[in-house]
Amino acid sequence: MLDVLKDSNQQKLTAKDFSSDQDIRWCPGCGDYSILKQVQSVMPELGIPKEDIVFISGIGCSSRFPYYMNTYGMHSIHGRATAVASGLKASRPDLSVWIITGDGDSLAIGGNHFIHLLRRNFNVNILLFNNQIYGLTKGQYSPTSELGKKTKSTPVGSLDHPFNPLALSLGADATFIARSIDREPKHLKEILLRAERHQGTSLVEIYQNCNIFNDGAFSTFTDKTNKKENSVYLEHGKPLVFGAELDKGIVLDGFQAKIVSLNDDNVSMDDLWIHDETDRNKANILVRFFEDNATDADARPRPFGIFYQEERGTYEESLSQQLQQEIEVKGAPDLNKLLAGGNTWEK
Amino acid sequence: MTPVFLLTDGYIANGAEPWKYPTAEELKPIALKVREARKEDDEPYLPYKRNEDLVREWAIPGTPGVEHRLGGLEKDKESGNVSYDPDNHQEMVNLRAAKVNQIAKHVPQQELDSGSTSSKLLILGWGSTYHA
Repeated sequence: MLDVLKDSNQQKLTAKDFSSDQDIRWCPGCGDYSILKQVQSVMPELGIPKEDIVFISGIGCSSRFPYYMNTYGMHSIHGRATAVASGLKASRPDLSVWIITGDGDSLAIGGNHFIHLLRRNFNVNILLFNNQIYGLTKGQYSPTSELGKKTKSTPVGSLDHPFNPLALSLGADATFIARSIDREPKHLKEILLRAERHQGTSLVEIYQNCNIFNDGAFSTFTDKTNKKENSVYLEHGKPLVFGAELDKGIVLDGFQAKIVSLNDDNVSMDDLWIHDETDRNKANILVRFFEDNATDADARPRPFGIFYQEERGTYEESLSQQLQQEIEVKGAPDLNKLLAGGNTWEK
Repeated sequence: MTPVFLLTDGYIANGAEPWKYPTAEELKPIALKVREARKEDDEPYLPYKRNEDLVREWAIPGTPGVEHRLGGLEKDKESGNVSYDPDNHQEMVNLRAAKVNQIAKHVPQQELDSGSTSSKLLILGWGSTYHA
């Protein structure tokens, strides 16, 4: 349990305690290193003994992650980390369960498990490493690759309309939806903390640079020259302000989000959209801030932070309650009755 | 720890015949031994080390000191760490084969239904509608 320190000596753990002794096999310069470091550094702050933490991954570059965490872990089946984690959480609600997946793993082969986990709302955390490419198999287009993308499997450009992972998650009634990026470690760490504290499935999409097969995919949100123009950081209760000089804001005109200049005398901070994490309607608009910032002059800034969260009972709570209620009504379970069923006779 | 896949037949589900089943009391208990917490002076935990039956210790989440990782990549035969060493891989292939072969220890001696031990062709049947 979160509030009980099970470690007998109750020692304070450090990030190093969560690092396994394995050599890391990611390419030098991969964005995964930053994410690993932030996860390891956030772990001691959770106050959960490391034996009660489990990392479960599917297949892909990011899915090697559990090998590098000194916790329990499973490098499971392609696209099925979500299913394995659901089973674990159903039987062991006391554990802190983290799912590590990529855009291919979770949105192509694992697309179905992904949406069903979200609607069921197990209390687990999903870290979706989105690099918009298949890295482990050496550079084919993925479900989040942009339209027209030229890769080894799309030599003259992808015809596939990409998934918008956060819009998909909201559509599947996820109860916690957030986005961060490998190059903003402080932000990422804050989001990870909030994700773990949320009771229910926490979906964190993390933009991750694959410097070998898709280098610079998110440079519009990381390059010092333009990142502030292209991204807006969401904070609950704060207005949506962005720009190099923090001189731009977003107002909500009906259902339309519009960019305004704060240098305009007719615009004041009071006019701006105030971020509300609990407002599903606003979240629906925010997840659609999804234009191609590199090519679209009218693009709205890409939001980072917590788009939406709501309190809803978790699957494992409902499961436990249902079992308890059935026992109260029908009495303690009896294996002989179960074996006999309804259509048996005795000799 | 040998995986067993029991492929049953729709015939069992759809057919109707008297079937004697055991009571709960008659079922042999399945003794599950799991690894206990590792104390400070204990030897380092080696999740892939095997006993004389080639069975590994089973440590489940929540047990302090024996945290480890499982996965589909080849493992070092003792530490369980991902291993690309060819000799280790060969040893692991042999180990897994030996472990599966040990199933034979639990299979009773079979008898020939017909023919002789010097026959040229052996037909193995299982679960068929024998004598139906």
